[in-house]
Amino acid sequence: MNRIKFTGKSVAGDAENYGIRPNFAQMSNSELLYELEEKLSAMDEDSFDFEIADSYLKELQDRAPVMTEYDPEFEWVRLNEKHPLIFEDDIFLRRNVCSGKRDKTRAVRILRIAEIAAAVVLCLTISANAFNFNPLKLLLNWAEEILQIQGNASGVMELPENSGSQYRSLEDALNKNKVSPALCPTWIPEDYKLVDVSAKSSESLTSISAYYAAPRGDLFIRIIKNYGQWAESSEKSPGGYIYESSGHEYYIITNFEVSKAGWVDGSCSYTIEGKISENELKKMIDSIGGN
Amino acid sequence: MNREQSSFISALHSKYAQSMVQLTYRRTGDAELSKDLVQETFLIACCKSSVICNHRNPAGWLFCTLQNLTMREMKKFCHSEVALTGDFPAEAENQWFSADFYLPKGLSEAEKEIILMRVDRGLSFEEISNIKGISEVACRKQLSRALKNCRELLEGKISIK
Repeated sequence: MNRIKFTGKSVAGDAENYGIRPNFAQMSNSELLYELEEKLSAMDEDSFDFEIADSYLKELQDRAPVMTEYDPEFEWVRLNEKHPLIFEDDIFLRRNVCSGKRDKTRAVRILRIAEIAAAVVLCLTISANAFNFNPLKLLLNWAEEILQIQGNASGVMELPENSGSQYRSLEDALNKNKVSPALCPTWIPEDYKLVDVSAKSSESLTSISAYYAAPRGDLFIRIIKNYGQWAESSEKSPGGYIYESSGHEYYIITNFEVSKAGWVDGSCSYTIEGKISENELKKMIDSIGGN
Repeated sequence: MNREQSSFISALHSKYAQSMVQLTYRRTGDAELSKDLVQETFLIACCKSSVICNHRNPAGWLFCTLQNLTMREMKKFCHSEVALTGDFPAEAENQWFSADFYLPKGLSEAEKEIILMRVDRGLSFEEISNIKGISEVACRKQLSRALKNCRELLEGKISIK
């Protein structure tokens, strides 16, 4: 145990126990200081009485002020600035510890959620299979559709404004020739681009053609509207087949990388022909009516 | 040191630092040293925050630590004190001017004061100590430092600010 000792001589004597305020008025500054040291030396860490020390210091300060410019607040700030690590170290550590705990808790929570989700999916799959319903297959089909939609941007089906053409698109030509565009494809393969649209009319029929081109080849869409008694009947080549979409029948035939589809609606016959795949042809057919 | 400990030590500083620095100045006679020793005491307190925060008399711990640090500095001073041989005469013979006239410019008022007390007025350290309310050791230290500065100013080793 430390005991406060400092060189000095007692003037007031032993009769005066510390804790009893002496008669300061009869004491000189030196006597006050010596007696203060005497009293401090009689006290240890545990028995130190600040009130006693302070009473002497206040009396001395009244008589001979020292360190009047000392500002405890400023000095505390100076200490903080001089040794920032002492004041921040634990905060930093605590933050790290808290952060670590938080991360661990979050990981455990995510793991539990994943476990619950897996259990729910398993239960649903078993239940669905019991009713001959395969959710996994449905999910895959759905995903396939989404992929198809996102990966099926249409080619260019309109001519630029300054092209000088009479019609800007097949739809435009059909409208201007009083033929409904409802049964025309609204999608073509992405690499194809409209090159020309033309329409020819006679007394008995109107023929409207759209010509699309791509590096791999050409593509034509033709619509023939018949005003007379004559009805077009396309000869069905061997090897072709009927493809149904949206309640209509389409005859498809593929030969040497050229696909062809034909259908009839009332007095109009429609033909698609070009260097496209059979799947692309079906997609064009499926796009009829804006699907 | 956590926030609670920091707040606790900060409160101790607010309450006791002023008295501690006054006491230390009265012991050492050096303002900067007093500030530094009080700072060092609280720095130790921060490093031993768990000790002081659980101490049943933190003020006692602070004043004891300050006491130990002051003693350490005083021992250093005893080894490096500028020797002053013999007492100065109460009055200089054939003195035409006050000693103040011969003191170089650049000394602080406190330094001039203690030199004049000792040299011009011929006061003993006990008397100076009594007037200034500081210990004799502090008086000796102040005079020693003042004389050292005075000598260096006269020899041109330090420039006048």
